[in-house]
Amino acid sequence: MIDVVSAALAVTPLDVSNVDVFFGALEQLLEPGTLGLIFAGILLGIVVGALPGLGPPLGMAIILPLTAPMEPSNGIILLISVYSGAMYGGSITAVLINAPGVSSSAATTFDGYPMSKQGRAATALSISATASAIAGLFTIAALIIFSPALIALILRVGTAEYFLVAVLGLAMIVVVTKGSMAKGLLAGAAGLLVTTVGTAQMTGERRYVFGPESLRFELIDGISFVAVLIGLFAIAEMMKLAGQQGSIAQTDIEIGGGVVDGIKETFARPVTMIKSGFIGMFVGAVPGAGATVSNFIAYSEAVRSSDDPGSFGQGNAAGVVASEASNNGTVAGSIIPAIAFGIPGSSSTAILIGGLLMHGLTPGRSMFDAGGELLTTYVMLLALLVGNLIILLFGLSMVTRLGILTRIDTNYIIPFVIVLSFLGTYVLDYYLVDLLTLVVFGIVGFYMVRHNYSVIAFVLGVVLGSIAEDNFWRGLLLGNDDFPVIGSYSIFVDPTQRPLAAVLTLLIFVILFGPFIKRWFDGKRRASNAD
Amino acid sequence: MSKNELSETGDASDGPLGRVQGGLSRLLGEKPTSEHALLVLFFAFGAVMFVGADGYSHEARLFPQILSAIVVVLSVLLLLRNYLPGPIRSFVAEPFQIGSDTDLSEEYGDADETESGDDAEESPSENATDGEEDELTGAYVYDVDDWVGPAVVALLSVGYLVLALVIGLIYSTPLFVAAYLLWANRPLGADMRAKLGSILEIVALSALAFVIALGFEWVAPRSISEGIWTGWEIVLPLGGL
Repeated sequence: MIDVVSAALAVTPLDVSNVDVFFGALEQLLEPGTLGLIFAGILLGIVVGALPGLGPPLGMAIILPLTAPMEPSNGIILLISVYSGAMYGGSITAVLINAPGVSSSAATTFDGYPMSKQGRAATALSISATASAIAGLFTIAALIIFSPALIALILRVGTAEYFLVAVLGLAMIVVVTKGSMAKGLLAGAAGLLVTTVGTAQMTGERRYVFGPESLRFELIDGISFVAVLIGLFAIAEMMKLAGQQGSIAQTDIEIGGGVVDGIKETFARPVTMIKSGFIGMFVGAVPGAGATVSNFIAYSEAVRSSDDPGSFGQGNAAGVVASEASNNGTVAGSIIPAIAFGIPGSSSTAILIGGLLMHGLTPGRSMFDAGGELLTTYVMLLALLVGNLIILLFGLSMVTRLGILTRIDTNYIIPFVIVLSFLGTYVLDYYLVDLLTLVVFGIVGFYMVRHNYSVIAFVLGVVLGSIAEDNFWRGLLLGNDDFPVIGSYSIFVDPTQRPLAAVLTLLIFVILFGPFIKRWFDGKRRASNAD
Repeated sequence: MSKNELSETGDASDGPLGRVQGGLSRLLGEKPTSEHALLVLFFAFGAVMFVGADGYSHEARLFPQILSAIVVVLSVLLLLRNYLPGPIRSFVAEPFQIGSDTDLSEEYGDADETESGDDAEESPSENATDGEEDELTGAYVYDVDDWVGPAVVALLSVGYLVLALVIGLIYSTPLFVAAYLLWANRPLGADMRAKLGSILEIVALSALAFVIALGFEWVAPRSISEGIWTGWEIVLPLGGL
């Protein structure tokens, strides 16, 4: 492992092929069509994020099928722009009506809404736009600056370690999401099982293809993961929204305060902004943690390190700075495990992985290879950089008009989101089974989330199922004939040959079984103390 | 038990449904909820996939059978969590996090206690996450005020699907929007003027939905207007077989 890290750090940032690719990406970014897509994606994201009950995953899920006819890099740019815009958009309702448009803006309500009640809504919204954009800018810039070392590190990870990092990511998703481990494992296994419908990769056999002739024909291609994603994130969310009350502003909101005051307030707290942005970035890189976790950690840290912690929750601008800087910082952190290892940090990045696969891009080393898809990766990062500038300009110029989004009745939103889901899903392949998939997984997904079955684990299974089965068979073919699974696994854990693999294996065991072993020892200790 | 949970689970006091629910309560050690229905669905899904794989070659069978076995075992364990011995129950039923020092079995009580309590049907995770988000965790559960709304959306979505099959997506789209808005705008206002306003609103929004569907028809390379009554065509993948 030391060899891998030192080799990565030793790589000079002046790797000529990577620099060429970077400038190629910059050239592509500056094309009017690409800039237009970023602008459209950011605006759409802001609207989706600001509408109560919607959010980045839903916005991305609806857009996903519409990107199918686009060039892969353009489709990904649109998706990631929606993601970034929605992260900011969630703060609008959090400040104006105390209902975060997205869960990752939940901490913004603590001080943003009190500021709004004090007649400083415009100031709070300006803080939100400035902190979101600046944190987004410097976290993405940091990612681009350190990308040569990151690229070298990722390219040096071997197949076995790669597989183990993926397992580690899955393990973390299962345990980071609060709830029973059995529920997380069940969700992940069920997601993987869904992908076994259709044509078997190894033999070309048709599995679980049944029903009337037209259905059988459609099932040969398997169950569309795009339809599953849209069902889980659009139909299920609309079912939830139909069951909730009070998320719409009942009266006109007066947006008082000043935009310039908001900018000044933000820049008066550079430490809070930088610290929160990087908290968002690092927590966002943890699989399963996501922006909501980083949002609360950054807010808690702002309170802890403040000279006046009692003022938090009563309209302290630092609270809004911390919350908003962290959730946009998360974007930079969460896309690295997603595109490097296919491990989503959140539901949004799970859909991003789905988008990559839909466009024929496989998350992994090729995304960081100058001869592969590094251009797309750089375009994606640069698009985020530009997107944050758009957030800043749009957010500050539209502050006084953003209240209108909070007055849209959810009863108008629900049918149109469902209509777009149906139409978008159907035009992908014109398969009726995709619409059936959409509805079934929408209803099942609603109850899964309701009862805390990890929807991220399920999505990960559905998105990466075919890759998992392929790797499973590769492992078996490498293994011992008598004990295939054990035999193949032994190649991963030989500590002399593969120290990084051994460390990763140890980490997986600690993460999965550590809490149980600790609890068992605690029980023993209590029993001996009682004696 | 909360009012919401009551409406979700139904009143098990009398009648044939009550007797069935009473029997299920005794079997499960807690009152049946939608989570049990979800677990039964997972169990059935896993069982069908396991048995269905029997006819395939070893290469095509192994992966789905391992996964379906996991799904079947975990869903059975979760269904019967109140009867499991301590360590297994800890793995199956108790929420935990890395680094958590809380003894969650103490926090949420024993199975025997939940069996007799009013909150028996609530899983520990539901107790833990009262709102949408639980601070400092990735937990995200839906907090629903009115169970009629999700049921209506689900039913109307199924209806939309059936209509799309019969008359095509273009024509079923405005009908779906109109049906939803008719339900959502109940009782269409108190006076005639309000009633007329609501009807006009529904017509206008349904027309907008029709225009959106027409937009897809215009952009998409294939027609989305075909249903069984309007000449549905079977799509043959892989260039036809």
